[in-house]
This record gives sequence, C-alpha cells and structure tokens, in this order.
Amino acid sequence: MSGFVLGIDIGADSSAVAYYDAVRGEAAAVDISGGYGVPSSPTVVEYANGEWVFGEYALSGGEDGAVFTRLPERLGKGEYASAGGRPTPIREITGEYIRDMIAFVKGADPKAGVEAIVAASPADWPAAAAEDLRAAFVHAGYGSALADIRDARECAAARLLAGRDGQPTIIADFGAGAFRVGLYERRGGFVDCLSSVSYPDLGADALGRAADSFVAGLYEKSAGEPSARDVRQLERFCRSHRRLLLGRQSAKDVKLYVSFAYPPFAMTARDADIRAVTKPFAEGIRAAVTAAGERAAVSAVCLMGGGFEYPFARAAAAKAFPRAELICPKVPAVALAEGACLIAAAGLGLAPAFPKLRDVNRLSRGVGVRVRAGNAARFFPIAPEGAYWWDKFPEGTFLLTEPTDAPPVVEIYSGGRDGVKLTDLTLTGLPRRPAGTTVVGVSLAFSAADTLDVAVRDVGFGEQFPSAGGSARTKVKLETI
Amino acid sequence: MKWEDCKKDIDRRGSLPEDWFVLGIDLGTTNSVVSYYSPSSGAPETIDVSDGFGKIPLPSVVQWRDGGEWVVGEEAYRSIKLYPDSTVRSAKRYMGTDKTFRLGGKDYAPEEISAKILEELASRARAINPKAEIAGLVVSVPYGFDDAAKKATIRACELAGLGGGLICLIEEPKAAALAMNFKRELEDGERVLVFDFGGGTLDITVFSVTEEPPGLTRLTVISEGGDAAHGGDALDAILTEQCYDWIEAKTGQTRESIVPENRAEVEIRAREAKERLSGAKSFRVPFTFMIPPFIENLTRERYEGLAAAFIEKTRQLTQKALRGAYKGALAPGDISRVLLEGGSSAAPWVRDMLNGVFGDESKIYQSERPALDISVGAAYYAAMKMGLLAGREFSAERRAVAFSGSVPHDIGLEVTNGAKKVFYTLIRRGTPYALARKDAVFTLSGSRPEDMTRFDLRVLERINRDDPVEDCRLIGDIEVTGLPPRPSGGTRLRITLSAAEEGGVVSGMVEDAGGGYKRNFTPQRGKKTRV
Ligand SMILES: Nc1ncnc2c1ncn2[C@@H]1O[C@H](COP(=O)(O)OP(=O)(O)OP(=O)(O)O)[C@@H](O)[C@H]1O
Ligand SMILES: [Mg+2]
Repeated sequence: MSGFVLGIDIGADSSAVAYYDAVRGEAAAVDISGGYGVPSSPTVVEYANGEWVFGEYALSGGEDGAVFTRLPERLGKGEYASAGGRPTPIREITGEYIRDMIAFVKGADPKAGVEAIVAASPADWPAAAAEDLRAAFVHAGYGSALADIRDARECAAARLLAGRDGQPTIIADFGAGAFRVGLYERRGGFVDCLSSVSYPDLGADALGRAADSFVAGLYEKSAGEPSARDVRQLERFCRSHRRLLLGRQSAKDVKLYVSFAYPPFAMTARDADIRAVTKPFAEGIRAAVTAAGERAAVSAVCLMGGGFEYPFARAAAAKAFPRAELICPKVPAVALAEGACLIAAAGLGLAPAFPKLRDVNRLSRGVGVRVRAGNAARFFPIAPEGAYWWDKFPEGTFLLTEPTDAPPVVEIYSGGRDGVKLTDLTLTGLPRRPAGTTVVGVSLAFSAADTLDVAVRDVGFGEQFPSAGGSARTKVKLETI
Repeated sequence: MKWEDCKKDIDRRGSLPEDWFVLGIDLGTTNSVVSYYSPSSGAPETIDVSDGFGKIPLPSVVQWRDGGEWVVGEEAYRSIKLYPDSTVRSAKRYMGTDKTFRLGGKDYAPEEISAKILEELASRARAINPKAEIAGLVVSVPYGFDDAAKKATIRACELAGLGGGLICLIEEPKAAALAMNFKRELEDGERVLVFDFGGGTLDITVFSVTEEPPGLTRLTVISEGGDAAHGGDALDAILTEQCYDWIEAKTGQTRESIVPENRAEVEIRAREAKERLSGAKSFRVPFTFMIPPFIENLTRERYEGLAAAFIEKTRQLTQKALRGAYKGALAPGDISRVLLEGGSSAAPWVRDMLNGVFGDESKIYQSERPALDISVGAAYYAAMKMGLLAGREFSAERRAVAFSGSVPHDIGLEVTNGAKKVFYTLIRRGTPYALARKDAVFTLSGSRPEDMTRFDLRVLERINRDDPVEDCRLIGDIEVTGLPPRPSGGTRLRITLSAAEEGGVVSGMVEDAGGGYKRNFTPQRGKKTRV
C-alpha cells in the first residue's frame, strides 16, 4: 500500500475512521477503541498536566484537567477554550484529536503515509465551521491530505446506496445530537435527496439522558439521595450503563451492580421499566421514518449512526415499512466514516466514482411576492433560496400603494429578476380603502416538495383600518423548486 | 470422526453443511472471544458477547452465587465487589496445575472454571444458529502451555459439552499470524515476529513467509518464545502492591485488614491505572472507597520504574525468541515486521522496548483488532483443517495459504548419564506435527534381575531451549514391566514418542528391538502409567 485513503467522521459524541482496503475493495473501519471491537471512540479531549489525552483515556480523568467535548458543534464560532491556562482555539483542539486518531491508524502500517482524506460534515454546516475543520486538519499536519469535506448525507449515500439505482430509499441516521431521516434516490448520475428531517429530541443523547435519569431513580430508591461524594460516581455509573440497558439483546430484566457504593449493592432494572424509557423513542423513530417515506414507494430502509447499535431502535425503524428491505451495516456507528472513505477512494480512481448528492428539496430560488411600484417591480422572498421546502417561513407583509377599488392581486414568483410567476392570488372582500392603508400578509408553506400552499390575508392598518378578515388561499403544483 | 474425514466429507458434499458450526475460540486469561467461520463471506465472524456492553470479548470471569447460580462474563466482572469470595478471574494461569478454587463449599479445578467460559461462548454461538452443531473447534493456547495445561484445556472443552465434535489446539501467536496473513499481503521472504502480550502470558512467534509454488503463501514457524506467566496480570500485581503501600500510609490499614470487597476494588483500580497510563502520562488513582478517601497521583514514569524488572524481562524474552530460532539465531535485522497483539501491547513502553530491540520504528505494526485476531485466526485454522479455504473462490480473492502446526517444545526423556540426569530430545521443537514421531534405541543394563524386566520412563517437555533437566515439565511417568529376562546389556529397547496435533497430546511405544515385546502408552501427569 502506498498510503492510507481515509474517511473520517468527527461526531459530536463519538468519532470514527475508516481506511480503504484495496485488496477487498471496500472501506474498513479502524478499531480505534484499543481493539476490543468498538470501532468508534468518544470525541473527548482532555488537557492535563501539560499533555493532551484523547477518547476513552480522557473520559475517566478530568477532575483537574480541562475536558473538551462536542467539538464539531463548536467549530466555526471563533471559540477559544483554556488548555493549561493558554487560550486555545477549538479548531486546534480538534486538530490534536485528529492527529491522534490518524496516528492510531498509521500504527497498522507504519511504512504507509496518508494519501487522501475525506471528512464528513453535518448536513447544512456553516461555511465557517467547514473552514475551521480544514484548519484543524492543517494543525494536525494533514492539511494537504484532506481532499474534501463532504455533507454527511452524501457520505451515507456513498456507503448505503450502491446498486440501488431508481429505488427510493430511506436513510435513517441515529446520531447523538439528533435523529435524522431522509428519502434518497439514485438516478441519472445523481443521488437525489428528496427529503431530510432532523429530530433533536429523538437523538441518542436525549435517549441516553432518559436512561441516566431512570438509573439514577433506581439508585435513589435503594440508597436515597447520593452524597456529594457519590454524585460524580453515580453520573459516571449511569453513563457507563447506558449501553447495557438500551442495547440488551432480549427482553429481560437487567441487573445493575453499584460497586462504588458502600456497601456495594445490586439493583434490578425491570424489563417493563426499561421499555418505558425506550418507548417514546421507539414510537418517535417509527413515526419519523414513516413520515419520511409517506408518499414514496420505499424500497429499503437503511440504518446508520451509533443509536442503531440498540436492537430496540432497529426494530422500531423496521416497523415503519415492513415490506421494505432493512439494511443495517454491521457497525452502524461507522457507516459515515466508511462512506467518506469510499468517496476518498473514488476521488483517486480506486473505487467506483460516486454520484453527487443533489438536494432536490432545497429551494434553488427564493419564492416570494413581486410588488409593483410604479413601473418597477421588486421581489420580496418569503421562502429564501437555499431553504428546505419543509422549513417554516414567517409571514411576509406588504403595504399596498393602490387604493382597493379593485380587489388587489398578489403575484407569487419563484426567483427575482428573471423569475417565473407561479400564481396570482386575488384578495377579495376588502372594503374600499385609500392608497397606502392596506397591509396584506402572505404566507408560504410547502406541504410537499412539489406543492406550495399560498395564503394571503388582510392584516389591517392601525386602528382606523382594522382587518376585515378577508383572505384567500391556493395550492400550486411545481415542476421543480 | 477425524479432521481428515471431515474434510473429505465436506469435499464430497461440495460445501460446508448449513448446520455445521466451525468455531475458533481464544480462551484468554482476561478476555475470551469466539468466532465462527462464515461460509457466505468466506471469513470468520467474531461474535459479540458483550450483552451490549460495548466490547466484543467475554471477560474470563466466573462467579458462583448462593443457590447454585453460575454467572459468567461481563455480569460477573461487574459484580466482583458483591461476590469477592466466589468470583474467579484468570483461571487460565492455573491450567494443568493442582490449584483448586473453592466455591460454595466445593473445590473446582481450573479446567472446570474454564469449561464454564467455554459453555457460555458456545451457547452464544449456538444462539446464532440454534440448529447447528459444533463440528469443529480450534481453541488457542499460549505458546508456554505445557502438556498438562493443554490436556486440561481439552478436558475443559469436554466438560463444556464440546467433546462431540472435533477439537484442536493452536498456539495463540500462530493463530495471530494466520489472521494477519488474511488481512495483509505478506511478501515472499518476509520474517514476521508476532508479539502477543495478553493478560496472563507473553507469546512470541517468528514465522517466515515463502511463496512456493507461486501463488501459494506458506507460513512456517521458525521460532517461538515467551512466558506463560508474564502478562498484564503481573503488572496489575505490581501496581496493587503500590496501592497497598499508599493505603497503609494514608489510612494505616493493610491488605489483610481491609474487607474483601475493597481488596477486589484495589485490584480493579490498579488495573485501571495501568490501562489509563497507556494513554495519559499521569493518572489520579481514586481511593474513594477507603476511609478516609484519598487520591494518589501516579505518573507513567513512576509506573514504568516500578515495573522496570518486568520490562527488562520482556526485553530478554524477546531477544531469547530471536536467539532460540530453530535453525540458528536470528538477528533483529532479520525481522521485517513486528506485529503487536493482545491488550497489554497497548502500553507505550512495549513499543519503546521493541524500538530499542529492533532499532526501527517503522517495523512495528499494531494490529487493528488486537483483541480479536487470535480467535479469528483459530477459526481460520479450523476452516483450513476442514479444507474450507482451499476453494477456488477463496484463492481468487486471496492467495492460498499453506500452514501446518508444529511442535512448540522439545519432547523427550529423562536419561541417566553416569550420575547425571539429562534431557534426551526425541522430538525437536519446530517439527511439523506430521513428522512428530521419533524414536531412539536404548540398551538396558543392571545388576539385579528386575533391572532387566522392568524400568521407569520419564517423558518430559522442555519449554525453553536451554532449560536444565530440573526445569523440564513432566508429561508423565511410565513404568514398563514384563520384559523378557536377559543378561545385563542383552536387551535393546526402541522408544518412540509422537505428538498429535489435536491438542499436542504425546503418546509413545516401547518395543524390544529383538522383537516380540511391544507396548503403547499415553503418559499422564500425576499418576504413573504401567505398561
Ligand atoms: N490500554 C491498555 N494499556 C495497557 N494494558 C491494557 C490496556 N488495555 C488492556 N490492557 C491489559 O491487557 C490485558 C488483557 O489483554 P488480552 O485481552 O489480550 O488478554 P487475554 O487474551 O485474556 O490473555 P492471554 O492471551 O494472556 O491469555 C489485561 O491485563 C489488561 O489490563
Ligand atoms: Mg490472548
């Protein structure tokens, strides 16, 4: 091997790295946990006694060192944190983490360099954050190896959608920060993202916290309020038992042994109670997946993200489309890194070229109102360009410069200067008012990617010209958005 | 059925029957792992037995609870403090010894404890395919296991109800080498040193890679070494001592005076500190369970100082494995790669020490899955022995591999030479099992009549090449009787020893070179076999 071709996923909670195995022609996750078969490592960095400590090793310490977590969320904000009294940019801390991670990978083949890296980034990441991530790679000494930073959805599609041309496929990503689910289809040299929704309340973090408070409750039932000394211990105990409760393979009670207490004692987490913790998440996941595929002939549901290591979550997702194929990679937590790695390999011509992601659901042009003022016309976007159609857009209000002798006509356009008229909407039922005294409110909402709901209403103008309650609405079918 | 027959059976059917399981088990001191050969992927798959706890291996911990319940693995490990007196860890260290564990008023031999672990692993494997029967099983053992320890391992398999299928043992580093070969492309002419540093043992194996004929990669073991009692547990013990010193200084309590559950806690803390110091240069060891509670700062430097003698011994064992190669000493420069395996190899000093020995950092390779390789390799070996890896699809993807097991230690007899006892080698280490059948002729002499009709035979195993006869391990004592009465010097006896690959079990034969008399024997430790 001349050099490693890597895919890296720096997650809010845990990170993973995969290398391209040219012999097998596939991406293989590297077990950066120390070899016990967990190929992801907590995204935690600690600075203590003048040295950086990473991942699993950083989790236990931290009483007196500085501990940095949730790094990707903190990129791009110009944030500094104190490491040993020195203000250190988050991107540098991230860089240290990246360096350590890659050093671990290189241990597997010390003679090989790093040829190319693709890093996955959260969908919709601000450019400043991506810039910071680039700077982190530079800090780590891999600035030139970093070939690209790619949208996580694109990486996921690279890993999961091979060979699925023309088949609408759901990808559900059960990440720490959010549960994300989208509908994708490979066609015509593109991967179309038909929908993509993020549910922060359904994220694995939220689930973990629910499990923690359940365990803390059990503890308090047996031992009462934890003493000041035990609070931290209990916290750590809860965290380290998350997987045990949530990841159980069968519907059985789970015994927990509280070793840090004196005297140590055992407590039982009953099956029904564990189920009560997971139930809202199971239902939420099922509903979210169902919603994502509502109007499509879903051929498969692909699972990825650490949360899908939990059997209950896999089962819940499977229930949404019982007739669709369920695709779950062996280690869902590293699917993203593997996808990024495939993109890197494709970039070097090692792996089949990968179609680009096309966001068919982002508005390619703003949608709004064209307002005439004399000879000129001005465009006021309500749903701005780049927004997702499912976003909520605040109502726009416009002052009419004409008297309401005739019912005013609101022109809805897609795009400004050489935009396309989508519809005209006539607001009837207005009393006669002089020019400059009528305010019209325009609301836009997409009920589907191709269906725009337009509503106009009489807002009124001060106390003198109160709203007469007039309104109109219509639906517009769109070719493209 | 024999492996060979099994192979023929599979050949005839053209594929592995669906309800046959082929397993590889790494029965480790600290962690155990099971893999099964998956015909669909043509590679072993490791079975996650963590119960969702995150790590694939099963902690080698066996616990007995009142009421007769056995708890094995992760749960037993998590509850050590609640059952400090009835939890057994590291039973593997005592395999083949007379040590027993007293649990619930009964004594258990080490193999009975190991059997519980095997039972658990097998039941997890069966859960994948409940209809399957375990047709072939390869269990890995440390290089340093003597005959008694190997027999105890086989016995543990039988006790675990695995005796119905085929069982074979393989030395752990050989399994690691096999796993590595399937992961990476080894090149013709390479010499690879596998450094497997686990919880109980250090195993070192050097093997050479040749391509003959082209397209066939042949792995040949050219040296083995290590120590069956040199592993992470010993480092834990060093740190545990240090912890007791701190406890005594801070609280006035001693090892003897503190309650058993806190003794268990001290050991856990010591191990945690050791592991943390692989990633950090210092670690604050919490003794929050003591009264008064306190915290001690331990630096990596100080830890390495405490372990200096242990580290030095590790270096010497490495050098010895180079010197003791079967066909003449190897120099560090002869080794093209060093492959690190096992949990203890994560310690930075291991790398430093090996850098010192080999003088080239770029030779040191860290396995990507050090905790799983051995069981993966064992499963590959099981599959190889069943002829499953010879298939065309397989060699199309990867080069075919030839690998044969070899006898790890010298096997021979204790012979009196004048007044001195010496070790007489019959089967030399490194001999392939297929050729491991050697004989020698001895002349019987003596002044009393019974000297000519009976005599005692001691079958020994020499673990380290330069061990004196006193340090050799006893395989078994044989009393040979009923020889024809002849005058002194008139009887010449041919003694043959052979070692079977399945478990390395040694058996032998005594025959009168003059014909007529011929007896077979299987030596066993702990009792004299009379033939
Ligand atoms: N990060 C680490 N740094 C140092 N030691 C570690 C680390 N992680 C695990 N260990 C040690 O590795 C040992 C376990 O390794 P492993 O699982 O390879 O052993 P094993 O296979 O059970 O033992 P053996 O092969 O000797 O029978 C334990 O002593 C453990 O403390
Ligand atoms: Mg081992």
